[in-house]
Amino acid sequence: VYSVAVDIGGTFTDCAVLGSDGQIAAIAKSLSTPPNFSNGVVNSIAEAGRSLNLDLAAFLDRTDILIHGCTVATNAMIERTGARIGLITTRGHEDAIFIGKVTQKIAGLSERETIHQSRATKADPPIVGRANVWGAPERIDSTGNVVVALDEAATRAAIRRLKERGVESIAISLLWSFIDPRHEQKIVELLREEAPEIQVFASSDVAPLMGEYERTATTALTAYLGPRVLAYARDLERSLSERGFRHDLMYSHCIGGLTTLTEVEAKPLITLDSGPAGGVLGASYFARQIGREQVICADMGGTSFDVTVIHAGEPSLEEQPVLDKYAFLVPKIAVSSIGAGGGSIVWLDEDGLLRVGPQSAGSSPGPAAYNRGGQRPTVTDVNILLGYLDPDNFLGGRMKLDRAAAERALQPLADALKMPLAETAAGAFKIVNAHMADLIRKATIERGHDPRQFVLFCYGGAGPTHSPFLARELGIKEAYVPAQATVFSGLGMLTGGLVHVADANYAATIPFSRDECLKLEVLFTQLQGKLEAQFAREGVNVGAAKFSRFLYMKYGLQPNAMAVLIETPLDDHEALAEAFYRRYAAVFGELSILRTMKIEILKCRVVGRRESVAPKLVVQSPSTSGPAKSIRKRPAYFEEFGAFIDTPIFDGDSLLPGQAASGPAIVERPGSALVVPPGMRVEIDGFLNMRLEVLK
Amino acid sequence: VNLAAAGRTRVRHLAAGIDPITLEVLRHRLWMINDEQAKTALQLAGSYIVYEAKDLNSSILTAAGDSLFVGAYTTRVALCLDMAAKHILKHYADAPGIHDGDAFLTNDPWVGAGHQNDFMLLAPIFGEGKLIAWTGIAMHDVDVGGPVPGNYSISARSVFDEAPLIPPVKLVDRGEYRPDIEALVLRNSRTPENNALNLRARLVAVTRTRQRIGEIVDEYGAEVFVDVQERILELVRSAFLRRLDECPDGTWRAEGYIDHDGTRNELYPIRVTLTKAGHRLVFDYTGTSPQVAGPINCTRTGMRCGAVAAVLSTLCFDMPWSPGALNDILDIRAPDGTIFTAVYPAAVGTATVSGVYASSHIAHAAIAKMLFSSSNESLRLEAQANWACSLQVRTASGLGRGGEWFAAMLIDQSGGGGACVDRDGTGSCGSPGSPGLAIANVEVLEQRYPVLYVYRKECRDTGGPGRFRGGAGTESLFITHGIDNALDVMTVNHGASHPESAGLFGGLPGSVQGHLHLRGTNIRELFARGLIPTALEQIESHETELLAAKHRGILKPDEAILGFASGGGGFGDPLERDPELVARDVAIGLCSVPVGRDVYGVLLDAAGCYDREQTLAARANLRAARLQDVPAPKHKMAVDSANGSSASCFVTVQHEGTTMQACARCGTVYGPAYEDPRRHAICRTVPAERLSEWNRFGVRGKANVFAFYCPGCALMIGSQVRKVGDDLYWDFELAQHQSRDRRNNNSDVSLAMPDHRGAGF
Repeated sequence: VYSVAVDIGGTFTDCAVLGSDGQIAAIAKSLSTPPNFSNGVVNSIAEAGRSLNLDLAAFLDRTDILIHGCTVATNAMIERTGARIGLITTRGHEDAIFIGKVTQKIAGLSERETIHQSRATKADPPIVGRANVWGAPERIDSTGNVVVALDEAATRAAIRRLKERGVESIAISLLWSFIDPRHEQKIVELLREEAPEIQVFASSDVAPLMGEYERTATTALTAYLGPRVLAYARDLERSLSERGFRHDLMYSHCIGGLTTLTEVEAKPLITLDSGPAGGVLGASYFARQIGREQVICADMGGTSFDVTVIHAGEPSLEEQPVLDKYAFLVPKIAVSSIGAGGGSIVWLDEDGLLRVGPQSAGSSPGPAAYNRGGQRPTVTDVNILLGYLDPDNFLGGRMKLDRAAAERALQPLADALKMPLAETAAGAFKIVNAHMADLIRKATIERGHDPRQFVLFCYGGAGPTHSPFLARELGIKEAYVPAQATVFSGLGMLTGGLVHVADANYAATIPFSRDECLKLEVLFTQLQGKLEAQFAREGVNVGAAKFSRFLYMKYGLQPNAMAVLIETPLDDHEALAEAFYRRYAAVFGELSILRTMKIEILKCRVVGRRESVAPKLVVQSPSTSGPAKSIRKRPAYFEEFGAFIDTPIFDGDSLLPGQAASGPAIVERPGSALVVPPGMRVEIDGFLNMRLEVLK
Repeated sequence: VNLAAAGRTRVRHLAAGIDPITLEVLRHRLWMINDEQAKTALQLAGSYIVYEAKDLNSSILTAAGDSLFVGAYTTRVALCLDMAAKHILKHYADAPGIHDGDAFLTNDPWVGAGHQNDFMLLAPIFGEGKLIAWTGIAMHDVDVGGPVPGNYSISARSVFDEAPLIPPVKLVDRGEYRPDIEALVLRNSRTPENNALNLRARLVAVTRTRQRIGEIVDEYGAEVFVDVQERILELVRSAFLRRLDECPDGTWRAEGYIDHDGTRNELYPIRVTLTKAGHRLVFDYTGTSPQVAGPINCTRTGMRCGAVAAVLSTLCFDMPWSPGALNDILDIRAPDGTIFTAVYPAAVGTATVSGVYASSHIAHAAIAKMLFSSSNESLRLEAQANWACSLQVRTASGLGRGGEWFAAMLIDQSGGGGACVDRDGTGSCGSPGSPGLAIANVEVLEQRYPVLYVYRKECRDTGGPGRFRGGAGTESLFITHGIDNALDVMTVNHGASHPESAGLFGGLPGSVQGHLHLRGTNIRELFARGLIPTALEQIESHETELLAAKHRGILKPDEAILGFASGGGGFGDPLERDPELVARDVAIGLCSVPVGRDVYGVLLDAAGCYDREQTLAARANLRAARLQDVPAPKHKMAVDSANGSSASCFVTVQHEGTTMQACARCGTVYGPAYEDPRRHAICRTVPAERLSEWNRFGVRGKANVFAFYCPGCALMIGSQVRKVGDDLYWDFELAQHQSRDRRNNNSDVSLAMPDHRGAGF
């Protein structure tokens, strides 16, 4: 019996297969097939089956768990191919989604983009046109009083008009609906009567949280992307079941975990960012095996470098992520990115300074050495010139790289700098590493962490080459490159368990009254009940769920609250306050603690997690402790020597657990090369991951 | 392998003593550190104006106090930090001394703060025993004391009627936090808890920056760090000079008015003359009104911040914001004692939304004209008409729903952005020079304060008409809710009496902005009948009072306050606007039918589509009216459309050995190229209330809108808003075409109105 994970990437769709013995049974890649991505999914599964000598039907028949990282929502947003939607909101506030709190004009932009004032524009085009927004005559106030009753006749008429305009789905987001959802729910009823064929999403279901702009944006995005995600998921499930799959699919959840179609139907936005979420799952899984809870996950591909920080075993979350300028209220693993990857272009600016990225040659035309028309040098070209990548043995020899082309591309820069070619390449290598290290510093330090106390997990095609240098630059003593660095995200999904999250708005000040305390207890119980019901509906039989309770706490007057894990009774106010101070000081330092200031609660959250659904990966016991044997040598440049050194090359796939090598060394695997500089050592662990350590 | 060689580092030294690789590595790292500093403070801050309006900013400064990096928050706020650091260096070096671990706190506008609310914290950074840098953060506190909650003492007549001044004092002395200084500052405030949080926010942020720079010094040494700072400034300097090289030498002017100084409702002129000569850029604010009694003044530092903020956000859109690099390129001048250079003890309490904002506003307008004079097509695309001329600030105070006293600055409305050469301005666009500014969710406002927002929307006819129109400002209406008591409401803006958000090259100005106080309204009655009004005309009230630009009043339960914010200025002749876009704007409520008809010449059919025949006829009529009684022009030249951008009104042509300026559409020759073509254009007054229904509330015999047209084809080439009795002025003159006489004596900039032909379009 197999467990299978399929992750769709820009170029490839990856498939990872685990046997019931916990061994990785197969890894397969197949080209992604936009716009009908499900073809690529089926192809990659078939490919994996072939490597097990099974045809698709037989393979699917023996598969009981199939996990999918679905990128339909992201693609539909970028290409603006979501559903034609209508938006029903409170009369007088129809423009909230267009005004976007003003700040929509820079939401999600980097600092460099933000400073370009004349180009600041709102979401373009908006996901809903003004003509499809209707303000319902109704008003509820901040305490839940009905100020103006809902005009049902007018609402019915408006629904009919929206229907005539051909909308496929409707978002309903009224002011204060998270305090009192009665008008929203009434409109849902009217819609079901008037237009049962139209999909409806109400903000009081999708994101019952304060802030009408973000709540409306969340609901509108859900209505816009939901129908596409669902159509895709149903189509894929049908097509797989026709081919012999007898179970329900599972989906990667953007908070880091898995979920099922029943939840995706209600909250399609949780399928966003499945790739990074998969990688983070995998990194935390392996980190747990070695007893580490502080992990930096770094994914370096062709165009971007993505970082996620895991602190105390929990990935950092973004509470208000942004999708193409719309801020929305679905918590998601926080991913910080910069444009640094194998395809990043190396260039000279007008001052004659050497620069790397953020522009990328992508996969087309790609690095100069690909010989696909790329004329400009890239980080991949630099890695070839430094001897880190073997032009004759790239992707296991399936693709030949042209070293001379890389040289031709970089030489003009070296000439202009009046520096030897090798030093120019080494300079570019150092700059791109420094940019990546800056991003890691930022991602850790701004959350109050010291990067030196973390273990670094580096994956993606370009990750292994740069990871030792990142570790060194950041003072990190231990780094891992997973065995399956290029399909790590899919493998990671196989280590995930079902996860569900429920949020509720809740406002109170500590210390609170006995009544408030009871109210909060009831609320937590309700949220947990919701999750238990969700788990029950899914009927996946893997151990009991564990629930964690969080209060979002802040000093009075502050806008943003921090999630504080609550492990003490709710009536122990001192313990609650202390938990807040500890969390606060962890991020901002002891100076930031103000004991005289009152503490407020903004919302509460329950996260429910279950054990991983697939069998646990097994550890191989060290079969040998002897030194690894190099297969050949080639010159590689190391800054310490200021010269090319004849460096032993190891075949990563034939190394056994327990084998080790000291730098300088290069460990090659198809699609990647780990460069071990002098002063570092690599060892193969029981999962065949490569563990790097800095030697004293 | 010779392992001894392994320790040898290969570093190639440039002239300045640092290798290019290290430079690029540290430049990136420092920029990230500065950005992080403001972000940290933002997360910690307790005032709403900080975390929503982003009224804060941070800076890393060199040891001499020159600004190395400023953050992308409210630029104007951080640009004063260098002046404050220089003040401390000059006056405090001996006593009390500047030591490792110190942090100085001040809110003194004559030291550097924008106004008293903008407390700044500055910390010297030492490395290897030497002062090697400064870091600082400035942030708006809700209330810092003085006679009026929120400190906009609009009737103040000197600084003594305002919040107390705190010259630089050590909040942290050699690493020791001083609770006595904290107590001194908090004791004056009506919102001490709030300010306490903000103090910690500043402190945590500068402490973190100090640590991170310390790490760099540990790793690279103090000498390298100091070298890197110099090299960063050199690099930005050379990038900026390249930008200047893309603009021709010349002179560009922008003028406007601040209406109401808090004590008198008058129009106070403001003026900037921007001269670019080679690698020098002069902003001369001479001609601006003498300082006034009320609090709209700013100090010289404030003016400098205003000008530099405009330079950064218009000319430095693709380079690091390192104002220190521009110090010897920019010359920002004005005599002492003007609204922009107020001398102690002038009132300056509203400076940041009045004097500072206005100095930036007219600098933006002048720079846009310079950008559009560039021969680099992509730089011309950066030319942008004015954004809304000022933030509309309103504060409310009184007893809340639970009977507790509150004071709030409502950050609930926004003006529009200016039109560009190739597209409409962005609606509800915030404030130029503060990219991160946000307005609050209605739910946040209603939860905190006893108010109910009946509606908030983007407001019709606020954006200035043009081939591309200005972005719309917001319109919102609120009433008290859940209380029986009245609230104390104060409003501060300018551009309430006259349109102040200028258009560019034929674009017309955005509307006036302001607040209406509706008394004896039937809003609650409408609610009871199940109706929600969404526009002024749907509400009956006994009285509608237009509030003066600076106003304080009482809001009672049966009353309402309507705020409408100016849109941005337009770009190009509105008669050249695509009629489809006018029809769309009418359909979505951003343009009224009368403005569509009278200003754009677009007529719609019953379905709301534009009627081609009628529109052509209407536009022909409007053009004929512009040319009425004007003799046919003498010179017409064949124009080469490649000479100049399609968006341009002008081309240069050679005529009898002189370079002349001609109409880009019809070839009519205006005159010598160094002269403002307006001098030879038709000039007519435009009834302002026809540009926007809102203008009826403003312009009341105080100011006129003038439009200029090509005498050959009636193309609208410009507009100006002038106080009654003030002359028109020359917009620009390019040095390359200028006569020697003119170059030697260019003081005469007023433009008589020989061709003024009465009212028209």
